[in-house]
Amino acid sequence: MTNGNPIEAFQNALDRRGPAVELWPDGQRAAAATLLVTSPEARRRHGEAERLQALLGAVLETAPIRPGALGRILAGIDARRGAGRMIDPLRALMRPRAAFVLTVIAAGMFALGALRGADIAASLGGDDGDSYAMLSSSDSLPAIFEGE
Amino acid sequence: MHDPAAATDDMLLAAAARGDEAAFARLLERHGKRALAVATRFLGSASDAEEVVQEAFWRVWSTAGRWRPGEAAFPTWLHRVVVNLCIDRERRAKLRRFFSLEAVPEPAEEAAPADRQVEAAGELAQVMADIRRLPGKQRAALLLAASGEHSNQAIATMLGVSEKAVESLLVRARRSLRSEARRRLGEEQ
Repeated sequence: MTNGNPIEAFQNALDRRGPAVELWPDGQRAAAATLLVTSPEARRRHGEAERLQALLGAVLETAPIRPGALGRILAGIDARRGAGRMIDPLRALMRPRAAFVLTVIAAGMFALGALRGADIAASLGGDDGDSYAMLSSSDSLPAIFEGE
Repeated sequence: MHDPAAATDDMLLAAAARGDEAAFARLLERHGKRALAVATRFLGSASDAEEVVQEAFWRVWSTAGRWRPGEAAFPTWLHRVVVNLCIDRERRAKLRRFFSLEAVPEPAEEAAPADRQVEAAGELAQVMADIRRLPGKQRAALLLAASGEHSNQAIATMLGVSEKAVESLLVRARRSLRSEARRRLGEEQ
């Protein structure tokens, strides 16, 4: 609080650290104590900061906590503990990352199936008798081709 | 645990990690109301605050086994979770309002009857309205500093920012409140 206007520096320190001057760092505390003795304006601003701090304290103290709130929170956690044991594996599957991996796998399987279908179509288009042989001997075709 | 009331937070967390429900309930009893007060004033809704604090304590229960005694104070960790949940919740609500293109009003404060009498006193209600208009991080820093229980260093840990950043948030928040108070005073005169 040595540079510039000492009252403005004091106000800045009040805004940074609050009005409990006794908790300020040593150098600032000593300067503030001197200022509070010598300056009515410093005392006025300190009073204003104390009033604001008291109001802020009252804001927390009067927060409208509904009756039975802690009991409901405990009951909610208890319910989640019970539910969590049952649905955790399902929830894990539903996580976005898992869903993405599953989508990629499904898309890969679909693409593989399509490629194999294309191979078969190409084989059918040729005159090579071995292609027919391959088709007829293929037991591993996807179910979608069965019966065609 | 024989006497949860006499146990430290670290002892209660260790017991909760072993499945001791009484120890966990004691932690909730010890710190839940302050967490609810901060969340209620941050969000402006007692029911939203309950959901946030329930989520925070669910995380306490779920991760109690990973707690390292002496590394941080439990209230500091708890308030960090609560404040982050509040900020996330408000951000999501704003996004929803933005994309729904509806003029949805801010949640109304659900005051208990006894509080209405106090809040009707005027100045307190005006300060609360001023706090609700502050940006999220300024509001969080101010509410955490309001009780006088936490140092700026502790608030910095709770908000995941530097101590200097907390001081800056508090300066801007307190200036805004002071400026609003002076404006109202000017209007009255």
